[in-house]
Amino acid sequence: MPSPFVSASNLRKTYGDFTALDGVSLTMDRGEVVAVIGASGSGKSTLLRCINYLDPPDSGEVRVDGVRIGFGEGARRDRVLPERDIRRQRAEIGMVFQHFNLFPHFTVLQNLIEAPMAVRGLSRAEATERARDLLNRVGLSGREGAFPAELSGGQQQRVAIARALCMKPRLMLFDEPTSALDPELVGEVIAVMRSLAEEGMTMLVVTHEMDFAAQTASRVAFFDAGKIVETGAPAQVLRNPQHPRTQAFLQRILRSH
Amino acid sequence: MTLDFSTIPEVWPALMKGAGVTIQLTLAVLILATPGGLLVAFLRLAPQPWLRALVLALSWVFRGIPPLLLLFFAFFGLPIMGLTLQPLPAAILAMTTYMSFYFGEIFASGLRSVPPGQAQAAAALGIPAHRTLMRIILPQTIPAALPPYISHATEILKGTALAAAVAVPELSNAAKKIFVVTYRPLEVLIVAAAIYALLDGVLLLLQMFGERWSNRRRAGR
Repeated sequence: MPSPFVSASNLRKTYGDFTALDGVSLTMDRGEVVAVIGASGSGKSTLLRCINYLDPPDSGEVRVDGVRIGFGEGARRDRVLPERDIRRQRAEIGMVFQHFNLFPHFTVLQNLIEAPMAVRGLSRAEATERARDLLNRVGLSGREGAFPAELSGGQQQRVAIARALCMKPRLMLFDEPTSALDPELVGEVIAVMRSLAEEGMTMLVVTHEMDFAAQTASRVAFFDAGKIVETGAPAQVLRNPQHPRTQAFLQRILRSH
Repeated sequence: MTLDFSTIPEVWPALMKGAGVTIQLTLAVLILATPGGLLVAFLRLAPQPWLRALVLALSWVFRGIPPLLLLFFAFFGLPIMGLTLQPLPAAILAMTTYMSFYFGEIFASGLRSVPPGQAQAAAALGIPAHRTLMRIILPQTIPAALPPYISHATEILKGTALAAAVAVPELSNAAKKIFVVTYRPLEVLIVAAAIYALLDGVLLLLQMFGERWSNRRRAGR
């Protein structure tokens, strides 16, 4: 059996008395889109932040494309890598945040080319060419000179997606990418994510957008109190949930829609 | 009472020399206390609680002591500990220490005003820590930190007069040396005050431009 493209095994993370991850394991194949659903504060975001070591897990192991994140291999397997090396590993994993986190003092173009130049060693011309392609792909060509504050939330989030893609990541993490958006702007961001999924990007998406989970995800994982309690095909988890917690959560969502 | 400025041309070179020392002292303290303040700010926000507490305590001590006393420490106290300094370096040392802690507070609150998501986004992209600081974090502290920074710079200018107490030949000291000879204190003091006002005006002008610039940045251009 080939090893999975992404594997998180037995991740634990606590903040003081609060247990955010209580032994979470998850595997993803290349090109798979996994939607993580669940109530706020159930640990979904922590899972993403542990996968790219933005928040190191207390225990457990993460591997992306065979590489163990945060630790060395062989003789150094039990040693946490220096921050410099972890950052290099992180460069392979794109992340999109709920609040975009664009750099406000940079133009759209500068936001995109900063990391490829600093981390990948691209020349300004190469990085700019790549950035223009991506802005075109997210429907924002011509806005490269704009500052983030001049853009709508939906546009900012599309810039943030393009910024992450500019590093040519092998895995994309989305942390509630549409939760901070006005309802009428959600669609444009979802459309970009959908086309990314169609191109074969491996994506782990924490979301409250049930339509995205139902139509685009290859699998849905339901998160509750720091654990994945149910995972399966969208039709199965969303239409015919087995776990009482999943049933209760989906009923609440349906009622509020 | 009549004012007689007829002696001023004669003492003008001496006043200018004093003003030169005042400018030297102000610039030296400004140039040294700025990185000093950054260092204090980083330590104030360090992950280690003991380090934060230590710097907070030092900040409380150094900002609580009258600057004149610090000056006396640097000039009269340090030689006993084996470090003898000329008046000007002693004044620079005392004022730099003092101002570093003031600037430290300003810079720390500027750094705190940058949302944590900025450093997280940079880390997620793999941008190295030092580059994140220089290109992402520090530029965003400027709009908040610039106005108080410049207004403290005018405090430095005025504070340089204290250096007269350890015989630094700055402007106030020069003025005093002149009027004890000419017996016309009022005229010399008025001229010295005018020179201070002029220098202060330059800083105020800088502050005005700085504030306008940072307001524009805060408004998102």
